[in-house]
Amino acid sequence: MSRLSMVLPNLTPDEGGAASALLHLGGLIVIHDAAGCLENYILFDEPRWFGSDAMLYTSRLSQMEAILGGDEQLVSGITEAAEKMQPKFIAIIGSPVPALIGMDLDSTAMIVEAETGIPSFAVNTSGFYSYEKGVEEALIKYTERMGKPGDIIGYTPLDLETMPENPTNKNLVVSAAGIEAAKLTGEDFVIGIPLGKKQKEKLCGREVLPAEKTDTRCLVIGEPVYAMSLAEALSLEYGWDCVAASLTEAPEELGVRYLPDEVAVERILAENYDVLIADPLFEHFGIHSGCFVKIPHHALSSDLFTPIYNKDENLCGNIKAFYDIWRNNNEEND
Amino acid sequence: MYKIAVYGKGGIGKSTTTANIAAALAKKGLTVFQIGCDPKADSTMLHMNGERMETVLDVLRKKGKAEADDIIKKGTDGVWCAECGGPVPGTGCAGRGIITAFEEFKKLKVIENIAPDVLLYDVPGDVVCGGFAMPLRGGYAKNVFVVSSGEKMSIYAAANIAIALESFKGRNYAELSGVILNRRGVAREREIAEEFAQDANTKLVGDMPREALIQEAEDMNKTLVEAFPESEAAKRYLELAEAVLAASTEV
Repeated sequence: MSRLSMVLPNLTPDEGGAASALLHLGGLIVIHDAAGCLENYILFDEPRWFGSDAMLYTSRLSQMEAILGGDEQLVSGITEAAEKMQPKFIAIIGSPVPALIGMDLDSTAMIVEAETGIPSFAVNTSGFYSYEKGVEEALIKYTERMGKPGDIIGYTPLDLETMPENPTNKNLVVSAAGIEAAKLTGEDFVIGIPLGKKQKEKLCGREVLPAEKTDTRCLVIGEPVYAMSLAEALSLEYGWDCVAASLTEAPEELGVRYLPDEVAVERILAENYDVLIADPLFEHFGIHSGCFVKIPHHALSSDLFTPIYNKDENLCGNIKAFYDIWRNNNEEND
Repeated sequence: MYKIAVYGKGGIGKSTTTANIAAALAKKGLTVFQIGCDPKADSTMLHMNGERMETVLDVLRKKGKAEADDIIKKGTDGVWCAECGGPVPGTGCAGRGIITAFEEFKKLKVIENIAPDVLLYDVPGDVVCGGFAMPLRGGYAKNVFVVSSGEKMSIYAAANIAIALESFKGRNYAELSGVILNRRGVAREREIAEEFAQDANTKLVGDMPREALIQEAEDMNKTLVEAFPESEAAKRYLELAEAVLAASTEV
């Protein structure tokens, strides 16, 4: 039962994560998939696709190609497109069909590179995993071939409405999926997203005086680095006792509780937090009775809800104000 | 480390040959790791006292997650063993099973931790889909040996493997490094094998006569090398193992 999704939809799959991690980096991105499958990606997963001139295509994998194998058509299609568009790099992204028939996309990329002279790599996504695995592998492969994607590592709009600023003088890792790529660069990095004044100072390595502890218990559910950053920001600003949790796994040292299934979600929601900060869809569990601050997570609810701007300097202040109003109303009602 | 894949038609003696090569090298003091890639999971039985070891896919099926200790075992002859395993016959996808098992080996750093001198992949010869070519991919095996008798069907299957390897040129795949003749009493058997080796641009690295002791050893659930270490046949396997290494590239 624990594997059933009764309340929440599935997260964006790994191939969508891979494509989104690379979309803004100036490469030719080809999802090797049946044509119908790209629809999911452009309609639900990647908010930047419409109106963008990013070079993202599907290879329109046919049934006969899947049966007969070989990658001549894929190679010739990519080579032709690359000659016209002269991308900085070429990424071939795997999907369920090539994964099942055991296509070796790494070697396809090798042939493409030999023919075009453009750095090429494959991301071996399969659709069996959720988006963060695709983001992680895409960033590793990109970093191996092209160097770091910038001083912000791990950004995709699946987690954050806009690319955050980097207030530090190191690389800033803004999602758990960016950690391995950041390690690969060999450079110093800090993990976190600036979401509050004091937390931003702390990210920069400066001493901050945390607010005095209160008994307000708050649960933040989101991408691990986002949840961790917001939990820390609220705890530093207002002394809240915050717990961070995530539907995706992260290294233990981030201190984020992993919620592998809906049973785990139900269990944590039953811990009766005063404030829950999570995607609006968590309302459908019908368990949390405290104040609910809804911050959409695109990888979960796509564009069902209006995103909250992560660069809003007063994000924490707004959350606190929302909770104060909620509490006043509740006390009046009592 | 030598990374070697042994391919061949089913029933041709590929697993017996691989297991005896492994045992002979282990006896010489080398660390050897044999990975069975046949969904039947019977490649390593002769190292395991005749028992079919728990496969990577068995463990994943049961526990959802594998630890290194669940999927590797040291045989009675000192050879490290693992079996990829496969789905229930007639269901699922055996090729994807091999890919998944290999992903587990990578994730659990099994090969790095054993750090074998010789890594042997025992793979069914009918490379029916991409999964069965997995051991041939860059980073896995470096050298491929095909076990064949002089029988037509066996040579035909061996030729198919040579064709597959030829089509992977330029992709950093393993290379065909030799043919091992496992005699079945066919007329002109050596000539046939040599002709094939020449056509496939490789050479004959071993000529193994039919040997009654093999069956006797198998009845004892052992490799011939372990059961009859002083026999002429065991010496021949040692020579074969040395010839295989000599034709391979250390990586």
